Parts: sequence; C-alpha cells; structure tokens
Amino acid sequence: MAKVTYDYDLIVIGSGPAGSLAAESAARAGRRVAVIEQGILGGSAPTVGDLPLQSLLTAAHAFDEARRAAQFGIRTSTIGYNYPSIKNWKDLTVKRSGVASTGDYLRGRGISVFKGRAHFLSPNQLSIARRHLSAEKILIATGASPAIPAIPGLEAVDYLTAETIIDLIRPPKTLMIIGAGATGIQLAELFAIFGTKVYLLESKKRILPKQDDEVSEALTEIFRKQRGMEIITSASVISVKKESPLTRVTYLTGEHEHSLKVERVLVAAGWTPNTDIGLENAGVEYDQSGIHTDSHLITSSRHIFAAGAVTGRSESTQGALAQSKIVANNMWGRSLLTFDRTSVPRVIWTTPEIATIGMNETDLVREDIAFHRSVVANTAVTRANAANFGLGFSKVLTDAKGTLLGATIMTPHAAETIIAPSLAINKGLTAHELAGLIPPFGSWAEVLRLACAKLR
Amino acid sequence: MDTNTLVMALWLPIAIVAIVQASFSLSISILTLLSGVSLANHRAKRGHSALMASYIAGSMVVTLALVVGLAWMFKVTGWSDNNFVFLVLISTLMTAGFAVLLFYYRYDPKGTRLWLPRRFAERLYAATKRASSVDRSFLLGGMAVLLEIVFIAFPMMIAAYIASSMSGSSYYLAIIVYAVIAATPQIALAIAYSRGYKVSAIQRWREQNKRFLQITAGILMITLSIYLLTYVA
Amino acid sequence: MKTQIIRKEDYDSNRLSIAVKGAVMANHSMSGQAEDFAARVIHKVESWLGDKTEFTARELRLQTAAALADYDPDAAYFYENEKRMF
Repeated sequence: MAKVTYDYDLIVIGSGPAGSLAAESAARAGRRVAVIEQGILGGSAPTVGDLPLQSLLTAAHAFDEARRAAQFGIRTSTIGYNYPSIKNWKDLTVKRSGVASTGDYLRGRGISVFKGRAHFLSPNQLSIARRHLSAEKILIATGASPAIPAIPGLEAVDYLTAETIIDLIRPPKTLMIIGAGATGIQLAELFAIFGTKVYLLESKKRILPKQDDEVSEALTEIFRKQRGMEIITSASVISVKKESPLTRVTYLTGEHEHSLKVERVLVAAGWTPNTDIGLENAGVEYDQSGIHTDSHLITSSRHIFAAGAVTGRSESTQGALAQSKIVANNMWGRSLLTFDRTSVPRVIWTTPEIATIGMNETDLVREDIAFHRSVVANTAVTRANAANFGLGFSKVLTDAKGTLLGATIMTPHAAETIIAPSLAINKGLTAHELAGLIPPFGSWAEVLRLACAKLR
Repeated sequence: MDTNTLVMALWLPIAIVAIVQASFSLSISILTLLSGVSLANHRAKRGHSALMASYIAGSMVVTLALVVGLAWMFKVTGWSDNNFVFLVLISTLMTAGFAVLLFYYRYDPKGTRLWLPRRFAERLYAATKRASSVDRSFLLGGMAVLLEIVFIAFPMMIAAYIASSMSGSSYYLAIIVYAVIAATPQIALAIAYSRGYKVSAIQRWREQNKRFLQITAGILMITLSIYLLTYVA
Repeated sequence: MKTQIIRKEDYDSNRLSIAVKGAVMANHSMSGQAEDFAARVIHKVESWLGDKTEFTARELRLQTAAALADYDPDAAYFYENEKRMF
C-alpha cells in the first residue's frame, strides 16, 4: 500500500498561545509545520485580551492607589487622569509586545504562515480561501469569541464586548455590564475606578458564581461600598432598546420588571468556542461548550488535537500555554502527558487580586470528596496594618491526610503568592509542609502560611 | 394429510417466510421516499395514491413472477419431492438468517442504511426522486424486489418449494398468500401516507426499531430452518 | 472517515430552497407554509455561510436541517435523513 503523503506534518489552526508553542516545538524538531490564522497573528491575548486589559488595569490601579495615598499623608488633591493618554499607553504596550511581527517570527523558524479562514474538508484536509492543505496531524487552537446572548433588541444597539471596550476613547458615564464572571468583574472595576457608574447584572445568585461563596461576598461588599457599583443578581435581561443618546435595559428579578437607562452596555456573558470550522467533516465531536478531548487533548479523530479556549477546559492564557506544551509532547512523544485543569492557576485582576488553584469547595462537595478547610483574613498579618488594607483572605483546602487540594488567595499580589500552593498541589505536598516555609515578614504570603498552619 | 399437519407443514412455513420477506427494509424505504417526493411535487391526493398503488403492484408482480417461476422449476425438474434439495434450501435459509443478523443494516446510529453498496444506494435514491409517473413507480416496485434478491431469494425459494408440492387451487392460493403477506407492510404504509401520516414519523419508528426488525427476521429464518429440518428428519 | 471530493459546485440558494420546501411538503404541510419556512431557513443558512469560501454538501445538509428544526422538526428530520434510508 502506497504511503500517504501530506503537505505538512502538522497544521496548527490559530496562532495564539495555544497553538504557537506547539508549532514552534514541532518546527524545532524538524517537522514541516504550517500555521493558519484568520484574525491577527499572535492571537487575541496580546492584542485584544490579556495584555491590553492588564495595561489598562495597571493604569487604573496606579490611579486608585494614588488617590488612596491621602491616608498616608500624601497630597492627592490634584491627582487626575487623561483617558486618551491611558489608551495610548495601552496601544504602546501592544505595539511593544512585538505581536505585529509574529508572522516574520514564525517564518524565521521555518513555519509556513497562511492568513485566512481554515475549514475542514476531510479529516486530513483543510481549505483556506479555496487553497487545499493536508497534514498528518492537526492542532485546533481557534480560541473563543465573546458569547452574545439572544436578548431582544441587542442587535440594534451598539453594545460592547471585552474585545471592543478596551478601545473606547473615554470611559462612559454609566455602564451596564451583563455578566459578572471574571471578565465582567475586571472591566467593572476598571471603569468604576475611572468614575463610571457601573451596574453589574448577573443571572446567578451571586457575582463570580464559579468561585467560592467567600470570594463573591467579599467582592460584592468592596464593589458596593468602595466602587459605588450597583450589583443586581438573579436577574435576566429581557430587552435592550436604544433611546438616544442612552440605552434602556429592561430586566427581571423574580417576577418584578425593572429598567435602567445607561450610556453603554457591555456584554460579558462568557465565551463561545470557535468551532465553526467544518469539524463534522473531520469527525471531531464537539458541542456548545467546546471540542471534546480526552485528558491527552486528543479529539475523537486520533490525529487531531485541540488546545486552549476552544476545548472549553481552559479560559486563561497560562492554561492555553500549558495545553500547547502537552500537545507538543503528545503528538509524536512516546509517553503521553495529561492535562489537569486544576493544576493551572486562575487569576482575577481586581483589588485585591483573586487567585485560585486546584479545586474549590463547590467542586469538592459536588464530587463528594471529604476535605478540611482553613480561612484566614488578611487583617491577621502585619502588612494589612502597614498598608491599611484588610480586605480579603486566604483559604486552603486539604484532604484528610493534609494534602493540598485547592487554595484561594484574595490579597494584593495574589497572582504571585499562588505559585506556592500551585507547586504544592503539583507535587502533592501537605499544608503542614507549606506552613513550614518562611515568607518574608510583612509580606502578603504570611496570610497563606497562617491558613496552612491552622490545618496542622 | 390431516388439517393440522397441512397447516403446520405447509401453510405456516409459507406465512412465516412471507413475513420474513415483509420485514426486509428496502422496499419500505423506497416507498417512504417515494411518498415524500410525491407530496413535495404538489401531487394531488389521487395522483399520490396512484403512485403508491403502482409501486406496490410492481413489487407484487415481480414477487409473484419469481415465486411462480421457482415453483415451476421445482416441479419440472422433479425437485419438489427431493429431500436433499429441501435440505439444501433449508441450509441456505439458515445461512441467510445469520447473514441478516450480521450484515443487513450498516452501522449508523441514525437512519436505516442497508447493506447495499453505496453507489447502488445513491443511484436508487436518484431514481426514486425522479419517479414522478405511474409507470416509473411500477418499475421501481419491481426493482426493489430484485435489488434485495440476495436476501429475498431464500424465503422465496422455501415458499416456492412448498407450493410446488401442492396441487390444484392450493398451489395458486399459496403463491398469492405469500405475495400478499409479503406486501402487507407496503400496503399498510401506503394507506397511512395517503391518510396523512407523516413520512418522518414512520421513518423515525423504523430507525428506532430497525434492530428489532433485523433480529426478528434473522431469528425467524433460523428458527424456521430448524423447524423444517425436523419435518425432513 | 474519508471524504471524497466528487465535484465542486457553487452554492445555489434556489436549489436549497426547493429542497427545503420539498421536505416541508413531504410531511403534509401546505405550500405557503413551506415557502415561508424555506425563506427563513435560507436566511439562517446564509448567515452561517458568512465568509466561508468552501464547505461540504454534508455540512450544508446538517446546517439546513438544524435551521429547519426550529420551524418544522419533522421536516428537518426527513431532510437530514432521507439519504440515510437506503
């Protein structure tokens, strides 16, 4: 039987973090690799996602900190901001990231780059602008797009998404945010700091419904008291209507109908995996939540892999990078690596930051796993006194033997502190072992150590 | 031969093999699609019924012709009294039963895809879509029987063999009974479609029960073979 | 799963419309209703087509059936499965 020849050994659909790492790895190993990108090369993270949002949040937090500095004896009466300059700063960081030269970078590593929309015609064949390419193995890393709920009238209104709101040239006076998950929360804080009156609307009973109760409660209090936000939970939007120059949003809470007029509406109702690429022709199973893969990130077609937001198992850039690394190994490696979602830290960039790793209480209760918990408020450590910031806590969950199952840190710089429990979970360490570490006196990490120590 | 023996040795096997042929799917599938196509083409009720009737007529005519031909062959060659020939027919019936159990439907969770080679299936689909006249639909009915001859032949040969051992009016009655029972599902469906039953509802039922029908047909063939063997023995 | 590209042809909305109308009427619906459903289904399918340059007949059938299912589930079932009868 004649050996089948393909144009490439590997085709990667999507040039974001989930795809590029695997592409580079395969190219380094001498494979023939092609990358197909429909949008901006480099993906959404450096262009309309993590990086620009981080830049804006950095500016917002600096402004917020500066205003708070009055309590320390700093004169703050003339502190202000210029939003067009802040936007320019954001654009500069995107430009500085070098994302514009992603194409040259990939080509320099021997990777063919194709711009256009990829569409499967058969399990090994793709169509890109009527050009046909074939590959022995294919990695789907098409990411996800903002989910737009079917709200009557929404199409006629110039609504914002997480990808478009970062390009505003001034903060709106009033903003209704539909969806209080991580994306909505971060944008709510950003614009509230710059003086926008924010209405945060969530269909579930609390904001950040995927987090533990304590996180939602703490953040709700912070948002209401310190940011002046209106938080509306257990609500569903029933219609949106333009009443120039404002927009009327009508929603239901229980049986009661309410309506608000706001300047802009932001839809932050989650993410829809980009699966409209002819997956039926490739025999790849998928549904609304994403492409189905096993723990090795292999789809129902054994030669096709999927990584990143398109799998519905990773919403973060760090998760996408982790998956890309695993796929790079599993494609031609002898021993297969598995992706464990709980091993990837998740961070919400609010004040204070919220970082989680492993399983939370809701997960453990659902899976009927017995656990011990320990929660320590930030006020227990010296740093809270020195910084005059006591909001937040650290929470640790362990099994009966004391092995770490999960941790939630709600302190400033939580994104850095979470590395310690992340290592503990990956290595199967106990809370006792983690409590044996010596964090610098006056650091926020002391809260975590105290939480671990309570479980000894 | 007493009445009871007559029924058990002759009429019951004929009825069972007729039921086996009735349970085969191809002619039902064609009839279902034909009904849908006829309605889609704005066919008036009378025209739609005529199309169904001519299809069934074509199917019955070919069935009758084949059974009569086979029965005549058994009589002329003297095989109708030959136990060895009967044993061979029973063995082939049993083999066909196992083949039905294993191969009759293709593996596909949706639909009722049959064993037919795909090229034939596509051509048959196209021919059915084009059957807009009574004569075409008559030919289609006949073709449906011939296309499934690989499976239909075995129950048909048993019926022809048993009929050939009869004489006088019993001989003709046996053949007519066989053809009518074999066409009963088609007649019932044609009446249902003409009365407003939806093709999708019938097709859904077929899809949900295809395995049951397959197993029933296969087991009937195998069981009948064993039953007939006891008579030969 | 193997897909053979047997032939290429341009998308023809009229042809699709006729097929959809046929599926609706095959289930004893009136021609007026069939016209209405066909128009809505074509609109939805063409939204799905978007900027795609190529797609397979199988995909078109699945998308059309999914769009038709919102208006006439029986017709959608028939449309999706008529080629699976043999």
